[in-house]
Amino acid sequence: MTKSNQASNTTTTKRKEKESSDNMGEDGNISGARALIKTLEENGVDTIFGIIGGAIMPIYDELGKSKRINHITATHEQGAIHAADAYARVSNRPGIVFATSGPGASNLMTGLANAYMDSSPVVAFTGQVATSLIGQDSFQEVDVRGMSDPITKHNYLVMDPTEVRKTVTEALHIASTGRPGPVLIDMPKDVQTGKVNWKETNKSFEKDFEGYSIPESFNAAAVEYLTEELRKAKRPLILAGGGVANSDAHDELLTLARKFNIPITNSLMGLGTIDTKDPLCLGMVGMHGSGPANKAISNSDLLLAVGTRLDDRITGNVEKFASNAKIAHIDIDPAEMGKIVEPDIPIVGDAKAVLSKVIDQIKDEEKEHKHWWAEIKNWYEKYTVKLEDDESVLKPQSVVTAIDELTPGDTLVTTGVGQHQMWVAQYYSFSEPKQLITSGGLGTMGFGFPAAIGAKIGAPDRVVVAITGDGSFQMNIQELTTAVREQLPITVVILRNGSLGMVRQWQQLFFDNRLVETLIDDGTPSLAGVAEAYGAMGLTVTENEHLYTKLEEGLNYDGPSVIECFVAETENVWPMVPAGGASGEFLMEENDV
Amino acid sequence: MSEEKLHPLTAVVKNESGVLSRISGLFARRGFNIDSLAVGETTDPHYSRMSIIVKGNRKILDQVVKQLNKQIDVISVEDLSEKSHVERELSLIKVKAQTTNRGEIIELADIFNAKVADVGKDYLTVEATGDAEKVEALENLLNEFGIEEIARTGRVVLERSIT
Repeated sequence: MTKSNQASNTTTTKRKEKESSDNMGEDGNISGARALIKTLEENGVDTIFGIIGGAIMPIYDELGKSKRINHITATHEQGAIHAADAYARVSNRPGIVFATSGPGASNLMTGLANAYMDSSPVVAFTGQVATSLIGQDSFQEVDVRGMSDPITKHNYLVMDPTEVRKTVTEALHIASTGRPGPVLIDMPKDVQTGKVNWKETNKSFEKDFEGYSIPESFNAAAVEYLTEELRKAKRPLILAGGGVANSDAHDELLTLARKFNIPITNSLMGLGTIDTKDPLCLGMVGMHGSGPANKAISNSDLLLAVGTRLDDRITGNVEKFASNAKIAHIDIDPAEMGKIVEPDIPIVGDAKAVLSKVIDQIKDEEKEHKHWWAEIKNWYEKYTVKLEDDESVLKPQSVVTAIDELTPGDTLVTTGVGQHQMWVAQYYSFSEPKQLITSGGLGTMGFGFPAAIGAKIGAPDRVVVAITGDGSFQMNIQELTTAVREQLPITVVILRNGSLGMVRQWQQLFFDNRLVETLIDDGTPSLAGVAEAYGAMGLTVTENEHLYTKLEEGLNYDGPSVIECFVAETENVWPMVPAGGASGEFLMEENDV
Repeated sequence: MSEEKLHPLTAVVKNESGVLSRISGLFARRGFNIDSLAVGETTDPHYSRMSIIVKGNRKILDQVVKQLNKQIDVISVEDLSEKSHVERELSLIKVKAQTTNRGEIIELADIFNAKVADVGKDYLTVEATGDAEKVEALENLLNEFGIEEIARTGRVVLERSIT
């Protein structure tokens, strides 16, 4: 019997139970756990990632009775929350994760921090020890609310079952509106079992409640000023970040850029907000950004930064960042204005609304910026990284290019963190926002594989490929169990170079080539073999000759496949702006150091 | 970059457990310097008022206000630097006092409108209220007699009403 048959059989039995349990609640009294599941259902939640444990058993007991919610049991809570994070990014719905108290909850912390840094709407529910045991260092007790303070948009410790419905509704709203971000709800066991009269709880909910508001308008004068500056600019540049994707503003972005023939560069999170093959797209900016993009930043006279935090991986030396430009900054989060770069034109608001207004104002005006584009063309000639044409070596970059060629244009690509992540950003062509699911802000190795699981569940019709490294993959390798159990057709491509490559690259460049603890091949097993042992398809590629056929075999497999590519161990990521350097002054190769 | 100054802020926050740690944690992790922080219930017990004295330049102050506003438990934040406001601090100063010099200390306290809160065999506790400068001036004078301990509330601030 297949997995799906099993599931549908149990669902039929569950349905009967569900009906009777609804009738049982006729006096209106239900448990806090049931109130939680009912609130999730009424908000349209149908997918939850998690792992059961002692302090969350009452919630899982109610979850088991739900016919609307599908639960995916992960193998480690970190895997569950990364999956929920990716699910949220691809489905534009909150990603829900359940974990038990203590270690279950503390295992979520990396995932919360990851979602916080990348503004992803994750809502985490953690069981907590009973209220009478809180504060006594009880078994599996940890102060989750306190721990998650710095890495959540908001968090709650629910102390009364009557508060469950309001709190959960509020949490889902906070996570997914304004600048999205993770929210955590901690629920003691006795609050889960305590009774609440469902009919007396309030469903009605104010969108803007006390202490929380989403900017719905923007400073019209500032936008007019921006339009005027766009008219005057001779060397304008747009830097589009993940906020453009969140705001669904990519059409407006392109319309504006086309009218005035403005080049666009992306942050890592913004890749795909313009087709990377579009002639207006200069590629990624920042530490491993393209030469033309970084040169354009340094030489532009007007930088329009939209939906980006302008973090240190983008700016390098802040003093020298876009030092010849007037800077306009559009972001929905007021606290991003002047946090790092002081903008000349700060505009707090929704990117889509602001860009629409600019487009309205420029009407039929057009610009060509011939001189500016001639300069840019010159940078392309001077600063394009050329790969040595050597068929005898399997280059990691070529593997990424091959995957790009073999996969459909809307493929969801997830990554871990390090060299492979940068090669994906540089060599895979993205044409849709949020097509690249990566750990941008926190830089969480091990994100890619569980993210692929969440991405596939959030977008079952799309091809999902995780491109990862041997270091990153092994940080959440246990999720092979989850992928096999769910029989998910996802492909993992490992660029195995036997080292923690990005750190090794830094050691080579900045630590006189002292390779301390970065070579990890000794002890690393055949990862394709490991995949086979789990019940996934495992394939090995050692030469260019078999690259395409093996990739195709893995991509065509109707289940999880792992393709382990033994790539050149000495490749490094170029160009590179050394940490703290000016973005226009990058290294093109080893000899530049 | 403008110079570092002390800026009085007043914030109304939800009177719930965890809010104080959330706010003080925010200051710590973002490296904001606070000179003093005082919290107490407002007329509505659902809310507390925080009086925060922030040290820093304009840019830092701007970030402090924005980051505070971002917190969902924070209802409102106001920067009183440029506004007319009342600022008070209460200080309990335990001074070494013998029968011989008690009178002298009490006279000094009187000049500062301070009260004697407690008298013992070897010590006398002065309760002083006022702006920070006044309280500090009194402390300096009492130091001559020998200060054993000091407890200060931190500054509380409120915007002045229109006269």
